Amino acid sequence: MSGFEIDADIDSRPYFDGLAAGEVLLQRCAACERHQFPPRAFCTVCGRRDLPFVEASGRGRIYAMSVMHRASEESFAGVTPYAVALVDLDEGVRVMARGSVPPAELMTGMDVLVSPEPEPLVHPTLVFRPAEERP
Amino acid sequence: MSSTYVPCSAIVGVAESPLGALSGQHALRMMGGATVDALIEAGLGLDDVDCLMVAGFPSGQPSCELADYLGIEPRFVSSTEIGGSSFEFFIGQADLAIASGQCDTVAIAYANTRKQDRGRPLGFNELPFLFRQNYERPTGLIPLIGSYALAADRHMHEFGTTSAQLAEIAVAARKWAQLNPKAYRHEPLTVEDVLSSPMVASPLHARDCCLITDGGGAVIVTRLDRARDLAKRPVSVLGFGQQVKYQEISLARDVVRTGAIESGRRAFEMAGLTTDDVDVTQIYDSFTITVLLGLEDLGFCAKGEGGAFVEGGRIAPGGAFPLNTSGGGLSYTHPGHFGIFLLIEAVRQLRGETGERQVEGAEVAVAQGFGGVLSTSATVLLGRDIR
Repeated sequence: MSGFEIDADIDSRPYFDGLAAGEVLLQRCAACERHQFPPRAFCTVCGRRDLPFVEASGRGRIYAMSVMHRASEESFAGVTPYAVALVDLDEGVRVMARGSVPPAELMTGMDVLVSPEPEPLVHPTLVFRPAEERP
Repeated sequence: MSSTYVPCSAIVGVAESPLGALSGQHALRMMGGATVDALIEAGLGLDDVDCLMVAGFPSGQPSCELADYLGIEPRFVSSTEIGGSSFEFFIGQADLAIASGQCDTVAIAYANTRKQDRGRPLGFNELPFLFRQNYERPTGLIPLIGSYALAADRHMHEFGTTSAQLAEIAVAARKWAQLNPKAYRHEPLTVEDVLSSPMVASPLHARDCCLITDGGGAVIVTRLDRARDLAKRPVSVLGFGQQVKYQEISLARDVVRTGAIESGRRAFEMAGLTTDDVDVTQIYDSFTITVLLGLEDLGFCAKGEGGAFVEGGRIAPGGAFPLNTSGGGLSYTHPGHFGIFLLIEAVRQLRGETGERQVEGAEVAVAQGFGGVLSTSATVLLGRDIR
């Protein structure tokens, strides 16, 4: 582990607990039914505070991607080069995730599957890989 | 939404601190010295300054710290921190503060010691940004360049922009820097040099990135009627606009459409001008992609056409579109927040003081600041005072 800590609070703790349990959890507003990420105390669309976490499908598409040829910090030195992307999930939210396959197998616009990082390099985050097929 | 506000102020003095690789100089010393030099140029003294606006200097209360260093008691201050565009934002704040009678003479100041501080923790480790820390840092995104790289990648994906087109921006900056004795880098640079420099975060290479230097500067703003009695020909504030879009790139709705769309529109509306009226353009160049997005979003070309716009030496010395005539953050100086240097160069161009790099007959300039990771935008239109 490296020298920084996740600053989880009452609103984001369920998300991080979900990652540890192998699930991608998103807030979904009970009133307006929109998904929301990152987790917050209220829905940014309607302001309601009833935001149960639901499991995401993991399906999405790469909106933008960059391959890191240098490690952002020491913990990542063993995995360069690696891709980092903004992925638009089918639920309508955008997440940042690291590629779990070589960058050459990934490209912007590609359909991908997003999942919790199985063995976190630093702190649990999201990783993505090409979707084998899209239903 | 049309603007009825008429700006009331002018820039009457500008100065840089020493620039480059400095040792043993505190940022307050650089900022203070630049403020004094800018006042001397204007024919003013420290006792004329009744407002300080300071950003980009790592302090809990930067305006108050600078007041201590200068030995003054300002009656109005601002330390709004929106990154590199803070200084364009301050021009609008200064004009509004002067118009409302809160103050008469504003010193906008900046300095940082990024070069001296190299090796010390920066970026992610600097300050706790909640969403960055929790949802971006664990992915391994390299601070700053990684976020700009996502914007560059998306621009290439949507519009077919090429790395060679981005490289033209770095090459043009270097050619301008060769005409600026104060520039940090003067050695020749070609498109091939940029493309063969190490890839850091694709599609951005090392030579797509701004410099890391020490340095600072100051800009003195006062009422236009008073400005006309001072030592230098005033440079009038014609229009300004601001826009905050997001803080972190993962919260951006659209990474290739910046706040310059809104801030630029408001500034041009206030000034009653169009892009056709602009003689010399200064656009924040933290990275090559930053310039491309600024050109498009201010309306100098259509969205997606920035790559073709900068080709063929158009923005280099001798080209049809003089851009970043100081050499910019890419080749002149970049201590972390470049925004104040956009204003300094625009003012000197409008006064006709820039020697070999002078744009003949320049009457209107635009300074386009960006802050964060294309997160904030502030646009200022300046004009040579026609008495």
